[in-house]
Amino acid sequence: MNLGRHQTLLLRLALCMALCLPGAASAEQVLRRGNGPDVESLDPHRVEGVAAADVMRDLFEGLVSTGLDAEPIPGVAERWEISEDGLHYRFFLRHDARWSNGDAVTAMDFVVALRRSVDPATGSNYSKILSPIRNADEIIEGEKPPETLAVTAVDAHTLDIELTGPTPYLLGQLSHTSAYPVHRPSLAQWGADFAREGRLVSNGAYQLKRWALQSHIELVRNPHYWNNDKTRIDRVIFYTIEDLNAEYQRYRAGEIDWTTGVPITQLPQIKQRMPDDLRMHPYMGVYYYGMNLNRPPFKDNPKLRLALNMAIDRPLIAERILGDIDQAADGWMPPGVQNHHYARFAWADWPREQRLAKARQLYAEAGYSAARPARVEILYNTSDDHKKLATVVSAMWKQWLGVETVLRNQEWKVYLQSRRLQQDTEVFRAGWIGDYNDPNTFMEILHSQHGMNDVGYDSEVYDRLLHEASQESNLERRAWLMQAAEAQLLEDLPIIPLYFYNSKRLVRPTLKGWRGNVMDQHRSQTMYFDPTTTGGAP
Amino acid sequence: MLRFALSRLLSAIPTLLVLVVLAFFMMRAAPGGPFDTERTLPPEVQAQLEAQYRLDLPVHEQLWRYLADAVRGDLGPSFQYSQFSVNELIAQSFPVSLQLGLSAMLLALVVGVAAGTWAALRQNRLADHAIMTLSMTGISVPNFVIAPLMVLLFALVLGWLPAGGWNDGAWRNRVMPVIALALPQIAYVARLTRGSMIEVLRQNFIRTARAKGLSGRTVVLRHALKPALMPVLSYLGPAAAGIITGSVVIEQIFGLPGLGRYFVQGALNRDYTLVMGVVLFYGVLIIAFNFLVDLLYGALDPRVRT
Amino acid sequence: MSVLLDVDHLSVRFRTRDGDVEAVNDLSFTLHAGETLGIVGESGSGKSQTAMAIMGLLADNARTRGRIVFDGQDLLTLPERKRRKIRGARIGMVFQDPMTSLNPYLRIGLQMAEVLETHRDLQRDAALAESQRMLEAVQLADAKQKLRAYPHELSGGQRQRVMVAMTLLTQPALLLADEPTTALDVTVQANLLALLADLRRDMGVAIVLITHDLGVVAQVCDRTLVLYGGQSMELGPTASVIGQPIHPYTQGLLAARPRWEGDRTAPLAALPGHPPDLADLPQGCPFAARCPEAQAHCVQRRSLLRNVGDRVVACHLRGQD
Repeated sequence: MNLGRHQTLLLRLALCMALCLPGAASAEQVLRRGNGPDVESLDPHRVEGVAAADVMRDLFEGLVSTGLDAEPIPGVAERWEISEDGLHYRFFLRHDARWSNGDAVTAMDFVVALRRSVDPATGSNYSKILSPIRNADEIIEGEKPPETLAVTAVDAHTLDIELTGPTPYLLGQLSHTSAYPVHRPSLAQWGADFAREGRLVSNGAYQLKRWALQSHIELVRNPHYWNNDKTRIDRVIFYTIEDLNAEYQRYRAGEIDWTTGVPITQLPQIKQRMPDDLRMHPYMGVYYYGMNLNRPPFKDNPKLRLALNMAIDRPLIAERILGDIDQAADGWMPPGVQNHHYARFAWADWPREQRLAKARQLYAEAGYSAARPARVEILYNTSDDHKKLATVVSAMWKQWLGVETVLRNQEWKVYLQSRRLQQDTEVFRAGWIGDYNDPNTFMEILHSQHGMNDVGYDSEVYDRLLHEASQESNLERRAWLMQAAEAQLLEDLPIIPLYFYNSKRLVRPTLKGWRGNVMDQHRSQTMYFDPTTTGGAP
Repeated sequence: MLRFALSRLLSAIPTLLVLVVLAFFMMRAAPGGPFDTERTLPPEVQAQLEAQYRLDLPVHEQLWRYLADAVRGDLGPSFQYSQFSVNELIAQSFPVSLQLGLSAMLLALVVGVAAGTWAALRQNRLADHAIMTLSMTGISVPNFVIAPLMVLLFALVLGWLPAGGWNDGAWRNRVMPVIALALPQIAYVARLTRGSMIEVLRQNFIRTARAKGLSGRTVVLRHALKPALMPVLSYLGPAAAGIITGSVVIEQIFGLPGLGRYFVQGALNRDYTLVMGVVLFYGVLIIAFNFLVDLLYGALDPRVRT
Repeated sequence: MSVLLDVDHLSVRFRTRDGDVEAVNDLSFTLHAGETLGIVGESGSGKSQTAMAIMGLLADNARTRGRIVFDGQDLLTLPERKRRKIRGARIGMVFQDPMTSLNPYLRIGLQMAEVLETHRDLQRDAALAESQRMLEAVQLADAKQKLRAYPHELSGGQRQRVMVAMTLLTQPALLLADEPTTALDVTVQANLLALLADLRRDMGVAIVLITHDLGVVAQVCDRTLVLYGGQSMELGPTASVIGQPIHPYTQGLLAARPRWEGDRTAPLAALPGHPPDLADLPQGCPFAARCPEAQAHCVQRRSLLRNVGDRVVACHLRGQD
């Protein structure tokens, strides 16, 4: 064929475009994600932190998986049956679910895994997630052996779980890393060291290719995954980049396609230079100050607590200090939580003057004045951002009430210990991100018996309402009980909620197949690159 | 010679012992433990973990067992990286830090000596003032300021080099970290060399060399350089220490999987074994390095040998 | 005898921040092949700077005037490249302090061989062989061992011999020796001087011997030049200058020598006063301030060199114009 010069050019161009289209066999899709702090373990029952959880979500799959909106969807279990009283679950596993070495995934893999998860000898940080399962708490406390966990493999593809109370959020919990299955032959061969490069057998959309500590983790497609045909990203590389500024620079240099956050100081430039890359979405977390109710000045002093809460101008903080990317808090529970009717601050809709006047009145009624100001200390773990916020809050307290505030910062571990001991803390900074999409994850931490209750909140009403809710199988009634509990909390105010988190990150506009969701959980297997998209950072 | 090596080896042992024992107690003196997390551990789980890592034993027994293992070369499991032993972590990350450190040291010596010599030969002229001013900048501007600036210029604006990562040691990824690490040392070495070279060039034997009609280059390279380098040699020990501490920051900024980061992260996470292992390792390194320097002294200065 | 070196109205001044220092002031003398000239004077009289000027080793802030003609070329106007070919090859220099004049970090053999490698293009082996021969010529025992030795393994006297040998490797026409014996003790000194005398005889090398010691000059030098304040005071055959000094300064020098015979308890007849400040030289005769015979016009005008008998003298009160 004798082609003219123009025709050859056109042919070349056409070939080029054909190769660039998604789905073309030759083009490999590689997703490079900045992943924040170093991943310390890939053992599902020793995993800690968001960075590791994100990697695990691509490597493993539980009975239940998460969809684009972080809603529970079938995972290894293709369907399930729940009893009337909500205490008995039966899961039917896919017959084509396979491990990355081709072995079938069976119900027994889950039984062994769940037992291992609650076994105190495993040292899992999240064993309490499985509390709803009968006997789980006793096993965790070492009173019963792990074999008594109420999880049974009826046959190779059927799994029964029995609960202590109706738990509407159980399905969400079963998508957590502590409920992932384990490959039993690997566990038998390597013991606790099975989760390493060259050894790890996983059942998710990807398998582990390379784990370079402090550098990166490389995952490649798991060809035995039951849904492998739908997976479009061939390789995922998670980079350990601890510093937000460094991560931002590598994104700008084109070295990564996805970041974990954005440096606040660079926000104006980002909004100007690459507005299409910046993605924000409400994230299920609350930033708050706890008040130690075990000692003065907050012990038996609800009026002071209320006054301090009301004297803070939260919208102003959100706009000026947080750069408008996080939301001012108007209650305890962040927005977007399922199964919940929200309670809000009593003064949430008051005009500013009215709020401040009331705050001053309460302050005076609590016995304070200009001559006898309240003196409080705010403890926070060392960080410029926490310092900034504490400075602003104490300035507001000073200006509107006349409170004398001292700021104290401690290194992370020291700060944790101070909080826990409750001996000398007054106001301390805290943050909490929900483990699952249900109000219980926020409410339970203020239960008087809960290990994380560093404020020493002990309300009979509150505890009772939580207990009733845990026994209530009717979702609607339960939601109202939870709301009542939240209302009680907002009346007693052992805490000062400041703002609700937004997840914020930079993502290439060409990356599709994902959505912002309230749990900030995203699986690489649904994503793909669409080069026909325009816009975004060069 | 052999006796010298042996005596140094013997005196190293008590030094290392003191080092490890100090690190041991200092780590445990810091409030907060390795298993303290925001989410509290159930008591039984905490007890099991502590038993696994020997934290339930009396302190002196923990120390004794640790030393017994260390002598056999086993530095114990990492508390934080539960799948890995400290030996593995050090073995993985040390080559990175070593490559970085050696390259930086080499660069510092070559550029520093050259610049210092040049400045000495052009004493009090423009080149001298320029070099000394530049070196002052290199010393006073901290590397956590210089490094991001370099990234901005070379990675973002010019696009010549990657913004971070180790990439298994690709040469492109090493350029900026090595330069950032070497800069303060280049500055020190340049200043040292300049002063020393000026001193040496004043010596009578240099006058003799010139009187023999040797070229300026021969006079500097063959006659002046070796004596001028003696103070630089003394500085190598502190230089190595400076590079080790500097590498912690550089590894952090560029995201390099080196030993320095384990050191800092280990301390912050209260990973007792990791920190002690790294301390011990650094101790051995510095002792070995100083020993090397002393040997070099002998090699360089014939008057020391006899 | 041909004229080897002709120093013609040589002036050397150093520019410093506090003003100019005139180290050598209108100095003239000639040297014939094979001749030995002694240059005598106190410290600061300009003797070393004269030698440095001849060698071309003056400091960067030096400014010269006049001519130094050697082998028919004015050394002061030669480019550095050419000067380096002469330095160490045709003109050699031995310095005062043997303890510090050799590089302690290099072996003797290398320090000697490099002279031949540079100037005669020899290879290392040949250069070392020649160096060994020269060490033997200066009567250094175990010459072969000495080549491999470091300077600190040799004594002061041995090192000085090495220095001499090193300068003679290229068979220079002129050897400048700046106080070669000052740092040595007496017996060693005597040996070295004897060596110099032998060399002069065997190799026919012209020597300029700079010293403050009249005894040394008397032993070795054919002619003597007396310097004061950077200027020539008296120049003539050694026997005459030392035997019958004419210039008041020379007379004072000789009178000030401690004597073996005579009254040993009598005070030494030292010259009163201090040498002049070279940064601020007087207009007239530099010695006028200390001269016992000074007259009014001595302070106002410098004296030109006048012939008096078999020498030249710079003094208003000696000889006729």
